Amino acid sequence: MAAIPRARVPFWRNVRTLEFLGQIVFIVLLAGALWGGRVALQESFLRQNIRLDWGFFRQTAGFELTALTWTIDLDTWRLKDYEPTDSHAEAMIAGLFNTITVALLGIALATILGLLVGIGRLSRNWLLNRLAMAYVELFRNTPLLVQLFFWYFAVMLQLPNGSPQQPPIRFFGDFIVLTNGGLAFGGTVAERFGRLIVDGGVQLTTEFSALVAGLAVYTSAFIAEIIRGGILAVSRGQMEAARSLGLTHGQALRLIVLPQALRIVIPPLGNQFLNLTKNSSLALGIGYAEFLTAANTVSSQSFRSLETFTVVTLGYLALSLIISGFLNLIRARLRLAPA
Amino acid sequence: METTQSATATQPAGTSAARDGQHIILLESVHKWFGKLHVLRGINLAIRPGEVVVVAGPSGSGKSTMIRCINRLERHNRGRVVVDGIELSDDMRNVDAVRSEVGMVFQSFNLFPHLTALQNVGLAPLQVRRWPRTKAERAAMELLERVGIPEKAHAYPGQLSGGQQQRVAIARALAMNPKIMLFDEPTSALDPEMIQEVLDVMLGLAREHGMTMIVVTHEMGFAREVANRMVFMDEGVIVEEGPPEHFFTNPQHERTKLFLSKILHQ
Amino acid sequence: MATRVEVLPAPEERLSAWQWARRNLFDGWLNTLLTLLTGAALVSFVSAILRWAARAHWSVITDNPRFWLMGLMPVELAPRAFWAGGLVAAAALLTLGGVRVRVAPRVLFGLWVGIIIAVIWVMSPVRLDQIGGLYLTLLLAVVSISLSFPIGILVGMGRVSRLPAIRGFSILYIELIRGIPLITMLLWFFVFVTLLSGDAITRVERAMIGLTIFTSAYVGEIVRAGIQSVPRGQTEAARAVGLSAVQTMRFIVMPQAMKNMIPSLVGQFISLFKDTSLTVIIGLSDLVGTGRSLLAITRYLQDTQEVYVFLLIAYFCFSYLMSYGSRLLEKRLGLGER
Ligand SMILES: Nc1ncnc2c1ncn2[C@@H]1O[C@H](COP(=O)(O)OP(=O)(O)OP(=O)(O)O)[C@@H](O)[C@H]1O
Ligand SMILES: [Mg+2]
Repeated sequence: MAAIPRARVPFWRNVRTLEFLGQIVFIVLLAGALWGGRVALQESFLRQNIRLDWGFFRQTAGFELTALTWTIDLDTWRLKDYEPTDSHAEAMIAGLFNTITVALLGIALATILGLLVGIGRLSRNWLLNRLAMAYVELFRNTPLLVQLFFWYFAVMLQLPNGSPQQPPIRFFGDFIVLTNGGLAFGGTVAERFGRLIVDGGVQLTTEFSALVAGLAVYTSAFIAEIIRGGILAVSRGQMEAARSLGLTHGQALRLIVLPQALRIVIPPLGNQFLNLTKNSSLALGIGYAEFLTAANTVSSQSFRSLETFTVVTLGYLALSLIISGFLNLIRARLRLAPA
Repeated sequence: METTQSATATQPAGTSAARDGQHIILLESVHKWFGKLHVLRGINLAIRPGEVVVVAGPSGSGKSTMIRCINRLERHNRGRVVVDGIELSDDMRNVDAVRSEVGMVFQSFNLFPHLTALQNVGLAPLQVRRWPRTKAERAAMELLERVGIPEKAHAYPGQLSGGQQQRVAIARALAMNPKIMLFDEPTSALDPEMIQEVLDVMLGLAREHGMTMIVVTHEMGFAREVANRMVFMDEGVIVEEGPPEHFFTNPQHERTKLFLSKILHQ
Repeated sequence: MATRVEVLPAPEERLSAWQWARRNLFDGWLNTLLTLLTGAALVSFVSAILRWAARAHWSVITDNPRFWLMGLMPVELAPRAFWAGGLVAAAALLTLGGVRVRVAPRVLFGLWVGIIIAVIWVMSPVRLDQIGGLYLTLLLAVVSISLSFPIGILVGMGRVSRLPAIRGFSILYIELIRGIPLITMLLWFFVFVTLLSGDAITRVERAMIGLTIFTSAYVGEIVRAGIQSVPRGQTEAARAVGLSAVQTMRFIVMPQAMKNMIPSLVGQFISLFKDTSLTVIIGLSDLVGTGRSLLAITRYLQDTQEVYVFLLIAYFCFSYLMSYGSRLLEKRLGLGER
């Protein structure tokens, strides 16, 4: 009935067909590349006479970790203290627990520090403001690894060694004691073998202290900027509106500005927490036995580097996915929550 | 389907008689879904060269979707769209050909903010037609003169008023020398005092250049003055169409009456 | 032409030093207290640093300039490295000046192409693994930045593609890489390449490839955000006047997206520059590696603080320079539009 006959589209001009074919080609190329990689790897294994072997994970690790923590007994699935007689896999789990400890502590400290610096950055006091800015710029513009080296080699290891000639640094009586052997809270200082040594309390190793301090300071610089941005983003108009309703400055801040700023701030803050967790792997540079360092030791002892590092990579991936899943949940909540 | 039948029933006898190539735009029972949402439910429309068709209808009735199917910013799912003898399909050659024959003006101007008015207008001839720069610029300048703002040639969109921006947008749509112009509520984002300057340009296009135009608008004064035909859409179908005299004085359908009473009483 | 209304600049406030100090440091007792406390802390901190700096053994820095600069590069090749460095420094200065006086971008681009060809020619007898120190750090950063930029744009465009296969691949790539710490990825990559090809690919090249793969994912994510920040109407208007998909990307979407992307892009590249320091863990002798090998010399065993403070200062200068350049560029691009 139509005057213009329905045109048949040849497939080489049909957009949909072309798109479909293009994607097929893409997938085939990709699969080919993967397959080629696999073949090359197999040939290389044959040449060098190696085989992938995952059994070594259950062999005895035989090394100490610098900070002893828990691990999971892979036979009973119970928590226990790690010992050198445990298996490689258990050593790596101990490392993972250390990573989580460092991350939690680092996140707490970084948030507190970042909050303080961020507020300083908003201060009307010129001196404080500039000081906070210098802090942010200094720590954001230098590599975390160099900062960690600095804290570990140039600060912590240069502290007094606790001998009578170099007495430990103490704060609040004996509450905080600092030597190049680490940091102790709430212990008592006693002399033993010509050295001043802390008994009891919470004792942290040098590596752990340097790592947590470095991570916290580095991340706090980013957090400070996020906090500053968040508060600035809401404050002006909202503050004026709230004040014109008759709220006091404090009320306006507490009831109007902060809740809104929190909403702006939480997503990027979550990203920083994730970054801090991933960055804790730089402990490898100063030898604190978190996940990666433990794995590195396993790798060099067992000569099973590809297997070990594959496991570590997947482990970090899982950790990141869990954290970002959690963050997404919070984000969804924030969107739904009433204003 | 019930709606389709009613749409066919309301179609004036004159249009179905003339499906012989003298129509520059032809829509035959066009359907369009957005996911599950059935937005166009069998649209039949045939437009002759030089005709000015004004489309009206309540918000969400599918006016924008319909005209966006004509230059294939949207794909229709069923039915046929034929523009100047070219059927719109998945043939990539056809889409390119149609896009340069159909100009479109948007409600929110959509000027390119990083280019000057002159560059906005000259971009397509320069890049698509591969004209030399001087030729493209001269042509762009002529178009800016036609819409009455040659002095703003080197201004960026951000430095222009709404009315000026929309006039640049019209010039840009004209740059490829289209046979058909589509306008999607060209004045509804404008301040009242700027509406007339844009309508005047459109009026000039219709009167002096005999442009085929489909205009979605609620400017009923403009419709009375310029339109050859009024089309009223609701819920994805064309409820009623006809010459403006009839349409305004003697609407046939309840929905049309209701709509007209609302819009004319503002 | 519209009639002109004379716009007067706001009357300029000129404060005396004393007025300024009153306003910014001493208004109200709380602020005064804050100023005094901060000031006291600052003075004691700065004086401690100065005392330390006066006592410090800077000879580990001052006696080894060539080592810091280019590591263990053979002495007979050093003049070439100096020439190359001089060329790049000159080009950088010219660019900075050029941006200020608004030379056409095309000219600057040509300048850099010329300089790069010259540098490659000058450095051709030098093997990659002979380069160390600051030169290696800069080389790693420049190569990885220039490679990850185009790859990142491709990945970012793939991330918003209509085609499920391409979009899926891009998402997988971006999310996979972003979920892994850089150092872990580098270690895995090193082990993998060693197993695959022995020593055919040098460590410097591996580091370059690893850094590029890593940064491309982040650039891709930035590009995705940039593309999505351009309103859909822009694409539609471009397609409606007849531009092809590629032309729309090139002339309409990318120029606008790029403007939004520059701050995060520069941030990412600063981050990459800082991240080149991780290569010391996989045994490269970049700036940090140089410092650490100096610290292993008996003479300098005690100079840890000097070396690490110097490293912090060096990295700070370069990062700060990059962010300064980016602000300049933003200002330059922000003019005339919107
Ligand atoms: N890209 C899209 N995806 C999903 N739904 C859409 C899309 N575009 C339009 N719609 C829906 O299709 C329906 C028709 O939209 P359309 O824009 O064509 O209406 P309209 O008549 O132009 O209305 P208005 O007067 O408000 O512009 C609406 O319900 C709208 O929500
Ligand atoms: Mg509409």
